[in-house]
Amino acid sequence: MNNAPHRFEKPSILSFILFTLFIAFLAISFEGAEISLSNLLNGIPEMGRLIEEMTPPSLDRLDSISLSLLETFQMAFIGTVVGVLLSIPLAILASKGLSPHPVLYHISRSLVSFFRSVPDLVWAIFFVASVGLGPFAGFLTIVVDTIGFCARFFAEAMEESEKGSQEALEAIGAGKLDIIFSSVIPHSIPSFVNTSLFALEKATRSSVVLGLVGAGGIGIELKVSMDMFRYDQAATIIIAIFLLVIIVEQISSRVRKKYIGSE
Amino acid sequence: MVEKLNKSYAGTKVLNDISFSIEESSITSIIGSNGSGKSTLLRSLLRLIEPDSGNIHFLGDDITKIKKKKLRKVRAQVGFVFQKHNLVPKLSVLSNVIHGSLANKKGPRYWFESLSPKKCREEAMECLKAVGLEDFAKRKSTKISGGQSQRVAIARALMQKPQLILADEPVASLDPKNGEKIMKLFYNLAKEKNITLIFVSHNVDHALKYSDRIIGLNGGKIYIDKNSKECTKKEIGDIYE
Repeated sequence: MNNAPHRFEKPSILSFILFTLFIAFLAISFEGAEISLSNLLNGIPEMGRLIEEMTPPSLDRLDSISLSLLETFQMAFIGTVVGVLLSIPLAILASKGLSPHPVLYHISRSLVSFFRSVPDLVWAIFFVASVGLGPFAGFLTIVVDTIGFCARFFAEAMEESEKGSQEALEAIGAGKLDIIFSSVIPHSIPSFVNTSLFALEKATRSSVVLGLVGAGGIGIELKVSMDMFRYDQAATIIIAIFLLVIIVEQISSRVRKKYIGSE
Repeated sequence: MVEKLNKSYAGTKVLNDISFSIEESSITSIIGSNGSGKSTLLRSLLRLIEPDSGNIHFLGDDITKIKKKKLRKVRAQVGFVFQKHNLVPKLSVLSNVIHGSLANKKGPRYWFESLSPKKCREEAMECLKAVGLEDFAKRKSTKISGGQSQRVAIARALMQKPQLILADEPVASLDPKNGEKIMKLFYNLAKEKNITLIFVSHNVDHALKYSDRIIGLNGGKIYIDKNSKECTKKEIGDIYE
């Protein structure tokens, strides 16, 4: 006699309806995204022509490209540092058990969610419109984007930090702020470092595209080269961006390994 | 002095009308099987767990009635040593001892040893010397043994200059040899500095050897309350039956 259970359990009516809706939406999305194999196949020769025009990359404007690249990284770096510093107090307010008041907790949680859910390009357009074209708008975009990213993870790290030493300080009558800075933050530092390094990598990648909407950095150089059909110069810029991102990721990975690996 | 202390969890009485008083500069052990209410009793004394009813008189205050601010001042005068030392793992031994000052002081100068005032560092070094760890001041608290960690926790408690130390199974996570050393250290420090000590233990030998008085709990009630010299090992062992 076969006593083995059925391979698949009969789904509930609700699961069946949800699954059907999911499949239907997937099919509609194919159409909505105008996915077309013929267009892709027709585009291949055009891609080939573009790559041909990109090679060999032109080094005519290497000086100005290097300066823009430096500006891009500076924008990403200072934006991340300021963003990380501002994330710490916001994360404290947004941490369950550390926030001084439930109202402040909900306000700061909502603020962090808002910063995170609005895409960086939208922030860039907003800041370009408010403070004008240039790297300052890019800097502000990266600060806000970093806060949205870091404050959430910092708050989670602090909520999950080991409670024993906090209880020990509470037992001797230490104040909340003293407990946060003497126990919670030191305990969460490896997680803070890890998140901050990811934020720097993310900011470096974002700072490249922010230029497309006028928020400083090398993005604008890329847009101009593409608009003027100087694909060979665009190739140089793309390679430069690639190198910058790789270098930042490598350094960040080494710092992470050295710092967190030694804990 | 503790009067008619009660605490229940989900309808189960963990402390049932507990009353006793403690003499100054004495050493009292609280023993009992798992779930007998020992740790709940110890934590209730500082309102780390809120008792349901009863009174706790300490330094002229009824701890069960005072507000948060006053409660902090009372807690500042009581050292609490936990089973698992509860040190901040990322910081040095010295920083952890300096944290004991947070009982009476506030602010960034007492968060890390590198920022701390000279006098505070000297006091912390004295406390480390008292527990025999003055050479470990700069070492990270994760790089020392369990026994050494518990010594650091004692040094942190000494930093408060406490009148009373409460210790919740302070040697439960240590091997017998280190457990004996820590209990000896507790005993000597309490006698030398006239500190009242209340410790929770499962170890009958430690209770007989290192305390002046033994309070035995069973089912949330006091089963034995005697001078340790008058207790026999068998009598205490009956609690665990």
